[in-house]
Amino acid sequence: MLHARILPSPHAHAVIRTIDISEAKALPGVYAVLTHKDVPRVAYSSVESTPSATALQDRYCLDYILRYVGDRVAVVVAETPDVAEQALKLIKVDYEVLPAVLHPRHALEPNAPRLHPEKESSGIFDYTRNVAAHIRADFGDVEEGFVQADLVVEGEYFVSPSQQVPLENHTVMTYFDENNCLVVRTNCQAPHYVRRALARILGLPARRIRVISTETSGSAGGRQELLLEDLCALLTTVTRRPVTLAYTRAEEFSSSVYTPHILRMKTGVLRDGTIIANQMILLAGTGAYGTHPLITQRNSLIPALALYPCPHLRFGAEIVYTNHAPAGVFCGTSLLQEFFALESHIDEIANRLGMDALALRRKNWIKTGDTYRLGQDSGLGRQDKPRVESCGLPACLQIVEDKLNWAGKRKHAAAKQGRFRRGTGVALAMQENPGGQANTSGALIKLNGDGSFDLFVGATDGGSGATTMVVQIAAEVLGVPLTDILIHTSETDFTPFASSTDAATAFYASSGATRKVSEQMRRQILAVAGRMLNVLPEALKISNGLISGPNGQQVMIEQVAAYALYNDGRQLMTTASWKVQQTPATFAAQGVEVEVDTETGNVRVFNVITAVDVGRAINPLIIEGQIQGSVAQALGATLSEELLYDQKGALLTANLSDYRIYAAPDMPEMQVYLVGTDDASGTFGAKVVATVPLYGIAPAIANAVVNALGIRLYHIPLTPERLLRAIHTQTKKKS
Amino acid sequence: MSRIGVAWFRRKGTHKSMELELRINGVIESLDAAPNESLQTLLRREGHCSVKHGCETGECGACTVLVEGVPRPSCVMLAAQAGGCELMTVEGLGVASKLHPLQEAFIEVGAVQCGFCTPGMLLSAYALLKRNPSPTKDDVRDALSGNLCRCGGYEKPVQAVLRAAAVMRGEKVEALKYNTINPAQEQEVEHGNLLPVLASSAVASTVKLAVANPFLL
Repeated sequence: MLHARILPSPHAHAVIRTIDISEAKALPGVYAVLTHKDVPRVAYSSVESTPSATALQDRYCLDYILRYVGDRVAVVVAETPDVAEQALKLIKVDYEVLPAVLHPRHALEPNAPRLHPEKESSGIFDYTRNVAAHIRADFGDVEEGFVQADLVVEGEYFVSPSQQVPLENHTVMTYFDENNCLVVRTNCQAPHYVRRALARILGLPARRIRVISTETSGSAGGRQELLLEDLCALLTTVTRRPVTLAYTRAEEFSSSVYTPHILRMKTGVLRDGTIIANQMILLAGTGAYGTHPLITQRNSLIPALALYPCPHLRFGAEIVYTNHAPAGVFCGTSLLQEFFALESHIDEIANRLGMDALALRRKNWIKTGDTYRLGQDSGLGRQDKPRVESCGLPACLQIVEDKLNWAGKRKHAAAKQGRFRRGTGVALAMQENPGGQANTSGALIKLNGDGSFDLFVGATDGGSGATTMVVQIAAEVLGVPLTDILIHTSETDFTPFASSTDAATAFYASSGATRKVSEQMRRQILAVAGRMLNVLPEALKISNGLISGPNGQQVMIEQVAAYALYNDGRQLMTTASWKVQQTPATFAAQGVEVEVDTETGNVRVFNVITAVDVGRAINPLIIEGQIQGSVAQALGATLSEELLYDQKGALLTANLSDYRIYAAPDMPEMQVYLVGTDDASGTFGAKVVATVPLYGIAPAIANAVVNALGIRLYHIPLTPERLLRAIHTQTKKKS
Repeated sequence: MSRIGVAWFRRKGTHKSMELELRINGVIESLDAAPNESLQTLLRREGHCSVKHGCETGECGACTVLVEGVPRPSCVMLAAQAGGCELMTVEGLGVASKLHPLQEAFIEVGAVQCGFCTPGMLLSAYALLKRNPSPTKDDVRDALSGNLCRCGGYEKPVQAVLRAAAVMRGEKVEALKYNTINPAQEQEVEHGNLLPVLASSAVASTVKLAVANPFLL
């Protein structure tokens, strides 16, 4: 087993003039050193995007242009990690340092350096202005709407960069197996995409590449990318030896991040609180490469604005290159940022109108039966606009309102003095994946002689419990105990193809495929059982693995399997594919209680109430855990997590003490309510709920701080420094 | 990968090595270690893959090992420092056929999502219950303060530890409840059915975490 290490770029933007690897190569124990001269120049994207001719591909295994501190300069593989580390120090590089773009606004300036001038890259919207993607979605005419409005409210919101912080760092191992196939063991959760991409990059036929997605730590959505597999595979092809390549925690912080976002809201309302025009324009960095979710998953998520359908809507986004680590996938693409802006803004509007914040929401929110107005224009290319089949918002908000004692708490808003001030805040959230990308999955099932089933599904479970729920669905349809089903996922050799750009649509696709294949298997079983019992298949029922007829006839599935195998001479098995047509929308209402220390600026959240529309909770145990985890992540993003860079673009917060995620003692009291609704579009009405509880926490906390202090913060995380600055500014204004 | 893979791990390269005597999960072992090797690397190399690699600075708690009964981050401890010590990993806590009440509670409550932080939490909790069999919620949170988790929100692990503590004191525990409002009642989905699969997939992770497997990275 050989160990590889990457030589990281010390500069945010530089070109390699010369690179001398002779000394490094000569070090005893070093097997290979690769630079941009040794690798094929094939443009690729580390994230699978909507299949199209205009897919953005701007990345190379090793490039002569370096675009962020930590970018790949060269890679070394050696006998031990220590020797590899030594070899890195022996590589001599002559850099031409270029001016760097360190803020999304600077990327657009006329004299800004261009990060992607190379001809081989494709799909970039406008490389001269560093614009990786430009998105516009319109419904009606917002300008007209603003003219007609009684009041127009504007606001600008900022979200600092953060990181997914998966507990397990990205780790890859590659080797050639006994059939001379390249095996890639990785904790990436998109094995089929990795295989396709590697085939292109390495020039190997895909059939000679096996990708195994191992059991991996929860990734917060961050593991749908090709991050190290290309280099590791290249090293194995060069050395013909097994190679392992992993990030250290410090490298993980620079691998793929959540980039800064600037959002401008402009809303036109009538005196009575009806929203008639709503506009959100967002400027986000994508870092060094075009991997921002809005580029790659543009068609898969409805933007936050859709929560309040009104006659005139506009959503615009400009995604620009900056000299930082590239944007990775996070749970829910950019919805966390979007809802922070939207739900903070709604409270602002309520304040200006002198209306209750909940009443304003109730007046304008989306309802069952509404269509998504922005869906069509976002490029989904659907003939019919998807409709909301079920919406649990009313019930969710009622629960939050009651449990928070909203009316009572809000009354005391006026009497706020003293060092510690309390406040309550509420926000709503929604997630809908219309399946416009037609996410697909497949499933295979076979019945074994002992009555157990092998189920092969194209799905990966990053600790989300998705595989458990898929097994539950199969067991429900087949009428057997859960322990009779053995599930196999995530190996390109024998699991069917699944196009997974995010865990939510992956679940809908795999659960649909599982249901279909289980129904087919059930029919096969009953057909054989019917012959065995001399009863019509339609009259038979299966329960707990036992098939019974109307007159007390019984046979076990085990016996059916044996009969088919030895009498009929065939094994019962079948396959099915599923293309997601429509997925259900998930909704949540979240309320928080905070206590602000006006002397230190600390915001202490002491109560969080989350009510989620879960459709049918097929596994409340798992769902509750997912929701609690999302709340913990969101609390971190709102109050303590921030990636800080120095003036040269180097990351300052590269360990888990400086980058602060929530730990057990930090957690507030949490209440989780699972609200059921009827929705036919998910399998058995189950809705994916893991991500929606992420979105409402930041705005709810911002709204609670307003309630406590009368000050709105427009920038998350709401660090003590930012809060103190705002308090002092307000005190100055008053005096 | 065959046994040859394990031999590759053992190749020393250019480092000298020392011989260490350690008592790991009750078994005295004599092992070769390089002077600059961390305890984490040594343990994983010897097949105790429940000791996870989350960071290199002792901040995440995924590499927690009990050294003489005290939870320590093995990634910032040299193997040599553990010479002559009694070590415990999750492999020594319980096995699939006989789980420790802590492990059972974690599974029952649904505190294992991806499971990466679980071995560390189990050991921290074990050490806590050894010194304080009746901890309060805050005691438990404090004991778990060094174990970071990104999936789960900490609520369920804390609940699990309190539950296990009660079981170990010989008290009865109540059935778990969820705040499910107006569930769709077209087909009966008995919540009792959840446990076997959840158990099998969660046991699979905790057991995988507890069982030596050279394949695990």
